[in-house]
Amino acid sequence: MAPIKIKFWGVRGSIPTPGPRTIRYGGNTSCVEINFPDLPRFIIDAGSGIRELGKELLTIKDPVKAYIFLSHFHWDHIQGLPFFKAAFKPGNHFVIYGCDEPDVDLTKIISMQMNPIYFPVAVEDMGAKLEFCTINQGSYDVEGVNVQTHFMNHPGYTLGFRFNYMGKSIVYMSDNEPYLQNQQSDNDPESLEAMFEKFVDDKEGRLVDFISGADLLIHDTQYFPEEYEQRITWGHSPYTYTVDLAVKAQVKHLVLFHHDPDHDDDTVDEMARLSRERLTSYNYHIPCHPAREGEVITL
Amino acid sequence: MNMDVFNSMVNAMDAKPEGYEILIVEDNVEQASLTKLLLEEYGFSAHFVTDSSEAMQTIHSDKPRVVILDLMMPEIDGLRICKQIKTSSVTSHTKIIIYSGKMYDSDRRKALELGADAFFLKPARANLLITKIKELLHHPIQNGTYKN
Repeated sequence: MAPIKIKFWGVRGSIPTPGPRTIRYGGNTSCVEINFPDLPRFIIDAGSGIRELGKELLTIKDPVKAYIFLSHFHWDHIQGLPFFKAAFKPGNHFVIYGCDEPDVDLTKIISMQMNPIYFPVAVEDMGAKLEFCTINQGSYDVEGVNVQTHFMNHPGYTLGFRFNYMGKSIVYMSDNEPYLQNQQSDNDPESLEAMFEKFVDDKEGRLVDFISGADLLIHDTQYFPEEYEQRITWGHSPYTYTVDLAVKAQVKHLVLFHHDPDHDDDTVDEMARLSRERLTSYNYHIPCHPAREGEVITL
Repeated sequence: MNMDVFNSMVNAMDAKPEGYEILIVEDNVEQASLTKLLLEEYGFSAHFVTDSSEAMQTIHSDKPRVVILDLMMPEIDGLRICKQIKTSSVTSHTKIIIYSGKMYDSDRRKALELGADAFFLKPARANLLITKIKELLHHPIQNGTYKN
């Protein structure tokens, strides 16, 4: 089988950060392309990075079909869509997957950011055929690729994705943070009240199962632990959590993703160094590096 | 966990009291049965479903007065069920307590916007949950003790 190629078009979290401080890793927000051999493209998230991908797709003469998986709808994951020129080309076909809100469906969520107040072209005026498919936590077949989804610990409904194809697996968890730890109980430890109060659903265990043995894990590493202490409930991870998760799940390759907009290239390098040091401390030796705009990983 | 509680939890999976007051919709069977046992300890009658796609049908047929809802579940998430309950004329009077591991203010606000009556972060203090259920059911609290 020809290799699977994963290309990073946007690696930054929260907001685009162009400029000399971020020139090595890039300032565009989340967008990752997966090329499975002989299949239409799979695109994960539509942050500002999708704009450059769209320009590349325009160079293809034949009509393009691609599947776009949106993890959630915070700006840094959809803001590139109005500028995705490939979606303006008649004949192209994009199938957009996402978990809608109980009171707003997927089509409307996407249309809303292209309301005339915010953008002059409506989504229905994009020339390509756009299909919207609502997904939830579950397992789906897309062109023979098994796509598994899992809720992340992030505000709103946010999905992580696992793509299984021909014995290879890629997991994308761009926005995720540790679950709260077990809490203490003032009740008699043997009482039902204490058991209830100390019971914590093993959500992390389920996440580990979801990631287990992945050939590639792309995971949120927005913070250093000391930053995270000030930003608990912001929905992002310290690198320590990400590394520990990778080790527990025995992944084969870890990519640090969703770089903080305030982290310059040297800071991202330092986080990568500390992440590798932590992996080594567990005697767990796998490739581990920050996602870099334009980089291609081959599986 | 001691064996008595474990055995009670196993039994809790089967028993469905007639005319029960509280339905727990929770995909984790241990969490669901532990919550059911706690409620029964305080004199409430309760039942649970772990498959969220069964929730609405069960609510329509059994008409519980209170529904305790998890948020992140496969099939149908808790917010969607909350919206369905509150927008159906048959069930809109049903009180809803969201009981979720989601710790974000935006999720809490969303749930309340969709009509939830209360939101508890897991794991909650047992007495606070019981107090809220009594308030929703208009049970009196006697002399500082929450037990019935």
